[in-house]
Amino acid sequence: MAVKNNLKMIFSYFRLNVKKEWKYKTSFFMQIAMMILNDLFFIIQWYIIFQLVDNIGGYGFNETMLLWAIAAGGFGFSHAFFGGAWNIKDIVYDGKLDVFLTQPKSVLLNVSCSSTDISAIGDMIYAYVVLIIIGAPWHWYLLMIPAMIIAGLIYVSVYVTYVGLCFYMKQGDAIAKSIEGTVNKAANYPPHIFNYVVKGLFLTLIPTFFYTFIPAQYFFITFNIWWVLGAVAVTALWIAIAFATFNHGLKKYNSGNLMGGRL
Amino acid sequence: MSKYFSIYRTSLKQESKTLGNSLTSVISFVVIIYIFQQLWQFIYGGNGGGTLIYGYSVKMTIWYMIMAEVLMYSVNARGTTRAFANDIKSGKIAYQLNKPYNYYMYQISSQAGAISWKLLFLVPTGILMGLILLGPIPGFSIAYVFPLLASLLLAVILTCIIYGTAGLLSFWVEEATPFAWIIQKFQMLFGLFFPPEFFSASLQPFITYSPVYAMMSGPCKLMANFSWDLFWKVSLSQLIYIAVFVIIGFIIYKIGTKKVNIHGG
Repeated sequence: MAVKNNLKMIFSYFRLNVKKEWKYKTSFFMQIAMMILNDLFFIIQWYIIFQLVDNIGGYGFNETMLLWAIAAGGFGFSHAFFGGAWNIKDIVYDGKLDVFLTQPKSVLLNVSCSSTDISAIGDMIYAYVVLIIIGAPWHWYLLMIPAMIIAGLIYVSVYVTYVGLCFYMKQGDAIAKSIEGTVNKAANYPPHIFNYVVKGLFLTLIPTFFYTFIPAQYFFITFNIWWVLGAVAVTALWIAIAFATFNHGLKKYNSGNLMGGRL
Repeated sequence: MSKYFSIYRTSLKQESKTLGNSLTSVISFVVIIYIFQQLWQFIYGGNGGGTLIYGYSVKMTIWYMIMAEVLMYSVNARGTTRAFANDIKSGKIAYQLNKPYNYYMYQISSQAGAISWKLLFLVPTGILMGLILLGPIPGFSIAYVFPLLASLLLAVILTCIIYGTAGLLSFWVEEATPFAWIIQKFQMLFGLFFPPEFFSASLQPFITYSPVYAMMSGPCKLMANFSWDLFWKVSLSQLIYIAVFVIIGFIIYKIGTKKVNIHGG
């Protein structure tokens, strides 16, 4: 029941956020279109690289593009449905969390869902544009939905886990940004270029591989139910860690005594 | 000019208060250099040997990338555009217009302060990483340090001016940051990821005469394979583009400010 209620809330927030942005229609469409165009540039980058080599550790153009599709889709999903998570730093430092504390649902969920980055919708569309470009089989279009959700949830959970440092220290978001940057950048490259130490890191503290490589390899290329279940379990674990660190940090929060309302 | 130098100094001082932030942001820079190094080592095959791709050895390519990443990381492209865009959208610009300075120059000077601070970390980190991962650039001389730094500074100034000019488009559109995304992608594709020689012969003249060359490819080529001829060519292109974009910026600013409605209150 609680899961159903929370899902309902997430979608209600998303609908309201989109409605709010819809008021500026030119900006709305321009942000989405520009993001798709922005992402398309990377196809040219990899096209040129694969003119130089046939494959990179077994990953050819199509497989690498699949990594990009999942990364873009996951990034888009996280910023579309949980865009408010990237405001946590400002909300905590400005003492503006009070207005969320009085809400009946989870504070973290309320904060995370409170904002939607409209351009993120462009990222999600781009994931499907890539599937069209690489001539993906029909069932990949369906598999992209769980892949985007897993990638998106991992991405936002990792960020929230580390941005929780803002409750304890000044400029606590700097580490979160670095980790996020690492997850985001490393995720788009064929995993075989990394050595074992880095691979170990990307499977644990900075779960880059669960963000793109594992969904790409085991959801799409060589389907493996155990890896799929493993990815779901790791995602659930990161969500739990994000909630635990945020709730622990919340005890350190100092109110700014600001009067505020949410319209 | 001294007032803009004061703005620059104030911004530099302000940035120096975020030492922890600056140090941790270097981590991201280190990660991307490492990724590129791994990728290009793989492409060149193992340790790279004596393989040349379009005249570039693996060492030259990665030193090119290091310079390119220093340029990318030092200018907060989207932040620069957003700084203009936010002031225009929020109406905050109205408070700046009656100040005894030119708002456009104010923002550029302020951004330049932030960039200078970042360069203090990025340049030594980039050099250190290059030396550790690759060793020194073949044929590099200490005499090249000053011209390289000059080229780097002109490149970041030009980049800052171009993204600032994009931000001024907020006078007409509600959201100017998508323009910054697209400029950034041109900069990455034709400057950061590959030297101009990696593109087809028909495309190379367009890249060489484009602002991307002055912002990115030119200084990076100097880093990979310095020559005085190239230095003068790159510097000339940088100075021309700085002048061109400053003029464009002033024109847009002048037309744009006429569109500002001040309601008081």
